[in-house]
Amino acid sequence: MNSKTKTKKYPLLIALIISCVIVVASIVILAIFGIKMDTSLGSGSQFEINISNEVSTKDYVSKVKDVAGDFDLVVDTAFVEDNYIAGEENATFTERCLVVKLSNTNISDETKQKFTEALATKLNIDASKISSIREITSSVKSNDILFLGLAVGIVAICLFVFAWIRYNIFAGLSFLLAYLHNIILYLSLLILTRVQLSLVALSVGLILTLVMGAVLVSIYERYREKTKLHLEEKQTVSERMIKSEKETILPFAIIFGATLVFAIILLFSPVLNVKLACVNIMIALVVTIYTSLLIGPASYAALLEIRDISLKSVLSRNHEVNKEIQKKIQKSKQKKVKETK
Amino acid sequence: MKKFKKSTAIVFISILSVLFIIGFLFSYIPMTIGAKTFVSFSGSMSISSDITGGMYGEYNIVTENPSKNDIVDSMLQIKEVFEENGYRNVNVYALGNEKIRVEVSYPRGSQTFAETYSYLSAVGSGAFALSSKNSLTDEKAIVLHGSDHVDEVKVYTNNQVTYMSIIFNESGEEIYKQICEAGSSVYMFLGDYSQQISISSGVTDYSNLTVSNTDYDNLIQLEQNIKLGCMKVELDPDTAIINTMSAFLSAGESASAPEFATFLSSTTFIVAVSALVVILVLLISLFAVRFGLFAILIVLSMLFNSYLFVILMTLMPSIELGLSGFLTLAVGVSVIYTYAYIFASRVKFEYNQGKSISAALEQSYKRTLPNTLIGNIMLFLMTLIVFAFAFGELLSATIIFAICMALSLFTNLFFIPFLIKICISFEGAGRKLFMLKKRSESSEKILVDDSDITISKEAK
Repeated sequence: MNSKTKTKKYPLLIALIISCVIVVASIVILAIFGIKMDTSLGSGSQFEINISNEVSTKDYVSKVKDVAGDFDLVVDTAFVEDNYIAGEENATFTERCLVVKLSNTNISDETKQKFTEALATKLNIDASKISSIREITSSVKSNDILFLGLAVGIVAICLFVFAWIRYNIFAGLSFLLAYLHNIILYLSLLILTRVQLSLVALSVGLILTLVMGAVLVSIYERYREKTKLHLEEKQTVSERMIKSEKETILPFAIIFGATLVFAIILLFSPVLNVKLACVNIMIALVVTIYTSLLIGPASYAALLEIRDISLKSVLSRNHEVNKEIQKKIQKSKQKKVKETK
Repeated sequence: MKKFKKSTAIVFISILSVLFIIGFLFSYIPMTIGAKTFVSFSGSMSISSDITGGMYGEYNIVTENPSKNDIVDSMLQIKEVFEENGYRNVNVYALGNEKIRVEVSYPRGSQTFAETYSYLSAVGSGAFALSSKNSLTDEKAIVLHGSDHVDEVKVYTNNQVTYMSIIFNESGEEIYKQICEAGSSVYMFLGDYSQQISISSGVTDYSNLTVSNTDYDNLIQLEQNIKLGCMKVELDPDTAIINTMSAFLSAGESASAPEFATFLSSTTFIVAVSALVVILVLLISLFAVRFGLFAILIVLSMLFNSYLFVILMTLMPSIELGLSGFLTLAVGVSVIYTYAYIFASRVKFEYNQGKSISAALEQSYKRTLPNTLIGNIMLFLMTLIVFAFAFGELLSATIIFAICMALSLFTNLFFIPFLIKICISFEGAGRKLFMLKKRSESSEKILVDDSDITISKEAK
């Protein structure tokens, strides 16, 4: 029978094209608007409002957010400072301050003045109780970011070497590709969605990228086990890889789902920082799932298939070698049958 | 996997129960025994200022028109001093060209309020200078300014005497030589504070000024003050404010106070904890439905892990649990759960392949071991690499994740197998407890050897 059954294959090319489009789009956005960083990475402004002990700070924060919204300003965090002198016992609260961090920078003097006046009116207080809006300069250096980049590079090399030693060079290459893909796509999506880059975002992105490595290890281990035990030998590499993926992905899927639900629930928090952290988790999860399912195993399968094809072409060119290898394969098959019996 | 005797298993269960109760008490319940109060291990954990609030110092910059580089350099110097003293998550930033602000979490463990206050006051203790006269304004005085002429300040001990060396740069060396030649003593200024230091006769090395003191703590304090006094920008000691502040994540819902009250009453905290509890209950229920008794083992191992986690965190007071640490912890717990799930699914798979419960457990352990081992070790090592280069909140987040991975490794390699050995010691309890369905004849498979190769009866 000549009829060919359709074999399952990964849509690797489509996945890579989608990733490339996202990366290119993010580069364009980056060139036009730049990167948005939060106050922890040194971008933003801050001002203080002197408040009395009687007022509801929650009410104040909500009013500040309303007024800020009218001026296209975004409240990053707001917290209370008390005039409590540390180290002294039985100290009384004499003065209270509401510290507001805005994620905006380069606010014009005119906007600052109008905003302060509008805020004073809304809060029904004297404008002198509101401090001037000052830009924040963080102590995070560009060197810190460079060192973090270096760490990412070292981890990439380590992952490549580890996968090469444990599996083969193709697994190493696919590990490297998946790891870099995960990080680049995550950052690209942060830029594209204009979500602020923060230390929380970096932590979440890095940790979930490492977890993606654990997913790949599970899939590759299953595939390795199958290859070692000569299971599903009639199937193509892609089919075996897809099956290994299906057999191992469930626990990770449950956990990813649970984390996604957690992030969605936390989106209802009134604090912008927490909301942003949740958005970061969601973006990182989507990227991790996408890379773990489509890029990592798919590139490994593709590389293995390319190796098989090139091996076959070498064999077909050299008949003598071919014959010898065929004999060896037949012998090993006979040996396996005997062992099985 | 050899099973224990029934009597041995009962002894182990008793010991484990006692350990779990003691562990729970010490980890989570604050207690007072006589005059001593133990706030529990979880109470001694360092919590970042974004969750519990903390203390801050705000200092006005005296230097006129300071450059951005000088401000950043000074902030880094402050950060370094705080980090040296165990405040790893210190947040230092400048407000325009006018102020520098330092935020730290509430003192925990061995740190005291007064200690944190003294570190914050040290930042605003003023500029460091050496002079040949007892006044810096004296026209004839030769003055060496710390911000321009000091390279390094270090403390060391030799023959049970502690020394502090102030090492000068090239121009500083020249000025110090002039000061030494001008008289027999040098005056050290640190803001309003001044001290006269005698210069020994016959001094030829002008590269540093070394002072000795028998009180190590005093010298360390002085070293830090000098380091802070050598910053590129000068801060005004008279207008410095040191206060308490509420948690960033509280959305200003409560007043700042040196307790947890701020965050505990916040909507964010309530939503986060409720969400976590609901999700954990759902995950454990799912586990119970699929794998029966395994769910209890998972709950026990997670509880045990939580004890170890809080103890380890208490032992590392410089690692603070903040928002990123909390999220990383959630991911870490997920990984522990995932590997336990992989093991439990494998047991089911092996059992369905025709093996006895103990054989299925043994085989599962053998088969999932490489995955668990490689996955956990890889995550652990890679996290440590990131930790080595990380900064700020990332430091805590990575070390928390590394702890989770070490615990996951311990749980899956030793703890769960040990608990399983106890479980299978009870005859007849096996299949139903692990939710393993009775195998039907048609689907029964015969194990050929110790591998996965199976031949169905029909094929045979």
